[in-house]
Amino acid sequence: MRARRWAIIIGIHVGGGLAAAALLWWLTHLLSPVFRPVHGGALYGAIAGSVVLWAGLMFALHRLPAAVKKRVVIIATFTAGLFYILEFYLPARSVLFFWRAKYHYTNPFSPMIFTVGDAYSVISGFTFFLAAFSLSLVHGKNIAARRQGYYNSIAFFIAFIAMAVFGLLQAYAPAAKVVVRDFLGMRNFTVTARQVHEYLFNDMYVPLNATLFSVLAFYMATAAFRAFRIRSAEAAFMMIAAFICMLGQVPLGMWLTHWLPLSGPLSNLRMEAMANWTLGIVSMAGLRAVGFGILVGSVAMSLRIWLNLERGAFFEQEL
Amino acid sequence: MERDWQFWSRRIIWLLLATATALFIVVRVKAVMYVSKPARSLYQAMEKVPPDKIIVLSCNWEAGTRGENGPQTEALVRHCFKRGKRFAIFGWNFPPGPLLAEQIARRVAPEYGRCYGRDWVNWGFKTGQANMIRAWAKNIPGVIKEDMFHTPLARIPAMRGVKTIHDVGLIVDIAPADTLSTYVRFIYGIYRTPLGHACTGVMAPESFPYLDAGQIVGLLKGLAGAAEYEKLVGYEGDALKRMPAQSSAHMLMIALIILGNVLYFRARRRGPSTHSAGSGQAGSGPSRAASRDGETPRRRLSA
Repeated sequence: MRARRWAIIIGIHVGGGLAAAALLWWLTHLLSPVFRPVHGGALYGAIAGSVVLWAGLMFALHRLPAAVKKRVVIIATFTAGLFYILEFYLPARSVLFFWRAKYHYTNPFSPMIFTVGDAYSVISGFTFFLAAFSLSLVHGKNIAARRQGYYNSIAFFIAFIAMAVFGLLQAYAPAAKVVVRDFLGMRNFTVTARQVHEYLFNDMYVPLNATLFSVLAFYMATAAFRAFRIRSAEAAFMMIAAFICMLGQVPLGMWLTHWLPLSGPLSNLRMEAMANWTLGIVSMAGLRAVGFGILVGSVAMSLRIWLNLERGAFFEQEL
Repeated sequence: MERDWQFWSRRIIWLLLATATALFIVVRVKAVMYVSKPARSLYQAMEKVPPDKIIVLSCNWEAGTRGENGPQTEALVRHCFKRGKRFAIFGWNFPPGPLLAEQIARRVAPEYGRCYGRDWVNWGFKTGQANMIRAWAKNIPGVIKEDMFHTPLARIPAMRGVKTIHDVGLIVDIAPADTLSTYVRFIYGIYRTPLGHACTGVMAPESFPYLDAGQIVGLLKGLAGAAEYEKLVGYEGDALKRMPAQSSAHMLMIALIILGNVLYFRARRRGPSTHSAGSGQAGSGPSRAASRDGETPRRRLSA
């Protein structure tokens, strides 16, 4: 009974996936003359048409019964996974694909990788919209309810709108003039959209980002003072390794052992040599083991998601 | 008393660190740097790239790690300019990466008489991660289409003869995150294109397995790696100038760790009730919770 159930599940997945892959292949070939690059007014028309088409499709999907929706998600996940597996594991050139012998890559899925890649980029674009929408919703609620620290949400909207507007302007109308009003009453001055964007990016975004990251150094220094304790022999070894690595990376540490020869057995006792040995031999063994474990876990997890075996809040909730 | 000590010790450490780094930025000291084998290997791999192939500088970094990845990018760009190697700037993990690298290339180019389009090209930021990289390897102009300034690749002289991954002589991934594994899996694993890596200091240990396995030809470890490469290229850039400041910061950290342990052992000898001087774990435990709201653990218990 159990085997029969599994056979049905696998049959539905493989059959559905192969049918979907075949449909995708057929669509790619059929629609490739339609999806050629367009410019000018046709481009905006194509964008508007695509948005309307996708909105309609999304609306139709939302109207489907929950069970069907879930099945659509499962089939879509399986098809996407199957496509990349077939493309990756089937040989790039093989006599098996004799009907494509005149092409460099005979694998029939290889030409589709560009179309699927473009589709992936388009779907990634949707996630940007989703992120912007979600952020706006959270911060908009903060402002509306005047929650504690709501002024930070106002700062978010100012920064978000300024970067979005001038980012688009510098791409599509870089010479657009912006009048900056001088509130001190001296004089107004005009700058271009590109100059404003450069100012926002180079003089605000970059230093702010760098500042946030550099603050970590201060917390690391306090943590080193408060947390790095020799409580056991292992901790002592770790501390010695940390000292060697820290000293081996900087000129002062190198200077400490600069009197040792640059070649020969004694050169191995130079600080930079010991640091490289610690990183390249001792630490690497541990990291390789951890990395191997993570990758085996990733394969198992990917398989579970691909075959819809994963259980949890997202996978079992009602769509 | 304990609360005061914790409050002030933290601030004193911050002040010491700020002073230690700022001092050597103001006062210039010549740094002694020895070039490590991984940095030298990367340099040699760059030298070996034939003129008919392009070098790809995969700038997957952003402003947060500019202090380390910026000098690394500059050193690699200068090397390309000095030897007349054409290269492409490319990014697919952090959108600002190619723009920041472009700023570096444009600042440095006049020193070597190089110009955009002829000596280098910027492919900009592309979405799609691993899926895009797989398609990119098979058809570079098909995936990139146009450069960062919307010029079709066919009209850029630096792109002559660049069609697939077989026309790429070396890829150097300059990154603060694990983007190298994507190149190892889908580029080196399939096409055996040489890979190099320039990473932040904290990421360096994760790159060593790839180096040991021969999957990457060379490695630049953080600012020290950039300083080593500057020495190989033959100029004194930001990395070499900042090394004394980094030395002093590292020495301060070592001194703080030793001091923290001395205080810890002294407090332990006195008895368990008088553990002070940050004897607990930073970021956890009742002492940290107490220091946040100004209430000692004893008071909290009695309340």
